[in-house]
Amino acid sequence: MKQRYKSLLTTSAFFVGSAFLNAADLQTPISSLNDSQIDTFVLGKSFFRVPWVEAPSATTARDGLGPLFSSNTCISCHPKNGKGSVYNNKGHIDRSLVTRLSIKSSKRVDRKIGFIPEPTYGSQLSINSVHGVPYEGKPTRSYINKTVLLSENRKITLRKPIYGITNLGYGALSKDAILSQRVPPALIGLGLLEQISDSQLLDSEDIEDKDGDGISGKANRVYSPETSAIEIGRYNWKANASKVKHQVAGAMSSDMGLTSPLYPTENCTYNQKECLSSPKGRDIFDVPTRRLDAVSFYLKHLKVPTVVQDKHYKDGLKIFKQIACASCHIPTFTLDSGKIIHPFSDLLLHDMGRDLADGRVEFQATGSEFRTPPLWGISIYKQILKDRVNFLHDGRARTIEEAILWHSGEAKQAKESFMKLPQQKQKVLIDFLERL
Amino acid sequence: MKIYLKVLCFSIILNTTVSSDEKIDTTTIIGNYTRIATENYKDTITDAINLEKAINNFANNPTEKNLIKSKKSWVNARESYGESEIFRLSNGPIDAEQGWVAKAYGSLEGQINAWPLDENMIDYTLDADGKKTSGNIIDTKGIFDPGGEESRAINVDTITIESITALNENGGDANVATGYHAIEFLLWGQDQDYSNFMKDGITNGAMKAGERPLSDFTTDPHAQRRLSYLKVAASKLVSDLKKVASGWSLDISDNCAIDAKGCYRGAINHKLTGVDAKKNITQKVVLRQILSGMGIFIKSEVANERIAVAVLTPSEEDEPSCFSDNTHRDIASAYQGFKNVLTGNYKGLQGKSFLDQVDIKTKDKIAKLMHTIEEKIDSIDKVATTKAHFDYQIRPDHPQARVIVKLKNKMRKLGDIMLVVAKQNGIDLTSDDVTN
Repeated sequence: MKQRYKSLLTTSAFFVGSAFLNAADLQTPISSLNDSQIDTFVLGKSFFRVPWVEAPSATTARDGLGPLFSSNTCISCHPKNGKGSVYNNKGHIDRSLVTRLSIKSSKRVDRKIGFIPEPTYGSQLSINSVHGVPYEGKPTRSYINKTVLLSENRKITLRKPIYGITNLGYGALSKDAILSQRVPPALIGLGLLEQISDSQLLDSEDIEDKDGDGISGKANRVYSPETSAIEIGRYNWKANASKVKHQVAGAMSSDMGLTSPLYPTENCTYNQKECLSSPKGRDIFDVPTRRLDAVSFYLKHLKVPTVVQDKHYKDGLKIFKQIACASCHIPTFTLDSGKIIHPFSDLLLHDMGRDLADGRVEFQATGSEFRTPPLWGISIYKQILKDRVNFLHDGRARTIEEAILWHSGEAKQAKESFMKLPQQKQKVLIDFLERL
Repeated sequence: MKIYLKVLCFSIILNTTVSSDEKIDTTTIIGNYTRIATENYKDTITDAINLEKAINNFANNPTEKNLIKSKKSWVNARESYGESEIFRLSNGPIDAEQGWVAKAYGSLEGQINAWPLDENMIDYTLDADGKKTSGNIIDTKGIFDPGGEESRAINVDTITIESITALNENGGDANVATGYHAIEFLLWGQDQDYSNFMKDGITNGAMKAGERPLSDFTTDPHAQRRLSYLKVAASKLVSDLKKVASGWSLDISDNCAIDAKGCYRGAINHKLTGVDAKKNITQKVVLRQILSGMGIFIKSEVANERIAVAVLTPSEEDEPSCFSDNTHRDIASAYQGFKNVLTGNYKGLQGKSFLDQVDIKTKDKIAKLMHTIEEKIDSIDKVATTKAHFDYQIRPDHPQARVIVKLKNKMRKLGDIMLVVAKQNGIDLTSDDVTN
């Protein structure tokens, strides 16, 4: 089963003559690639987008999907390489909304994955399965509303999601199960984030908050299946992956049930008999090294959108710094290569308070700690998702303002400073963020 | 093979064009572009009607001879359609995705030429263990659910235009039930290799395409359904092509909202009047759409998605006409279409073109590049008809693999040179505009 090219190539770029940031901007290669690098890029792009099928099939280059899986392509959860969404365009829960599963782990966690998986369902809920294997369940969610009062008597209603699962395929969940719904992040500048050196990241670390600014910042230390060593985590909502390849292989395993040299076993638990005995692909790995490398190469060499640093930008950035957003969302890094990048993140873990906490531990990250998500490219994934745009790990925020208002813990002070700003300044700040 | 000789006459064409110091009116160039599109689509319809006739004849009298005739008509029909593909990616009738053009002509590219397709959905295939697959449109009575994302079940008791149209892309882009490649699969059947050529066992051979037995159309229990499917798919193809071609009609409707006949033609030539005048597209936008579309087509679509992915994976699944092994012609005709538009020549009739606006030095560069490309296309074509089909030529150990690799590199360069062509036609494009 494969995709066709109509969906790969968009014609939407030229409706108007004027230049504007376009969704295609998240899908273009950086311009310095030579022919053989473009080849790798193109191969990776193909495997990123092509639908995988169940084994054994006629399409052996792309079989091995499942037995348990949520999606059959990478691109379906990162539309146009942007962010996933909570709901699809029919208003149903979107397949990109992932439910991570674990059980309470006050003691030791699994050294290689950084948590303890739910004993029956494993580390992630699979909403689909191949023939003859029951799927695991479907996520549900409901909301509790909460009203916040801002300056000039402005009221905003926030909605806190309550996570659930329906149609459980393998019986009840463990009573200690922890559910965390996650929206896949936009795939922006992943290669550049990898180039920020460990020492640069560790410079911002202040685990004990020795400078007393209320912000600690802690790098996650994670096991790398690539090197079998402990490395600094950089990717995902809790920074549980150290390198792009590590993250890609992890997503292929948990989202599509594809084995690779980094994740060589199918994602069935011992309690899932049908899954264990289901037919496997004909080759040792569904995704052999060369193809895994190609997909990683593709993601690492996508062009990062550039933002015009006009007056809007400068005014917004000034407020962003004044109210200390920039303490964690660090605007700029200079890479060892001399290249200057603007990810708006320190890639460190911060306590975000009780309301955002999902209780899920991942390596050094506690239940209330999250990695500062980079803010670059917001304008583009907003354009891709339109009214389905969402922010924060579980996509609960419908606007940037809501996302700011959910900040607490280490970000409490910054949030409160935002709330006290005159409305006009709040608008300048949000306008700035929406143009990143 | 009627186009085969045409690619040899490029140098003659170049010499007959006007020298670069005589600047030509853009209106004339767009007019000639329109002429080529109109004539090309006319040929496309003629060839599709011949295919439909051959198929109807075969359905009435399913003999080996009539099967061969149908296959020949299909191969012939692919030539004019391949050339017309240059009109894609330009926000025109074939595949505009938004706006009035999309609404008026239905964005039918996905119905006409969707590829790659999941052949398992249409009819039986042999899986990697040599077993016949089942549960497809041909062998299902009553309700057929194509599966995938939010698929809708369709009654397939009788195979009709409505039922295959409803099944096309129902549940995902790979669920292709209509168009040239659906017909191709029904006529030829699988021509499949397994495990990416590494453990070859099932393929039909270097000079063999799919070999569907005649008994599939005669004594097989589903013979009649296959014949009905073919008839319906051919009839739909003709009517879809007519719809696309109507956008280029010489007759221009006086109310595009009611009847969109000729409206696209009118809009890009600024000929719409009255209520439709606002649909006219400015020359700058028209040029941008056409020239960037040409760049994307030759570079991202033909060189990257069709050739690079096939030769790099390498897998037969990635050659566009994998059942008939007609891929060498897909490449040649797609290139021919690009050349028609760039040089303003269709079947020997010369008009003013974008190339006329280009300085001698660039023109020489383009001529050399095109010459090299044509040599390689000829070489692939020749080997495909004498020693090994395209699916064997892409094998890493085949000497032609190097020719194919070089061909795509040169095609990329030709795509990039469109920036210069655009510039000298008064349009600024960036390299991102010709990359997707």
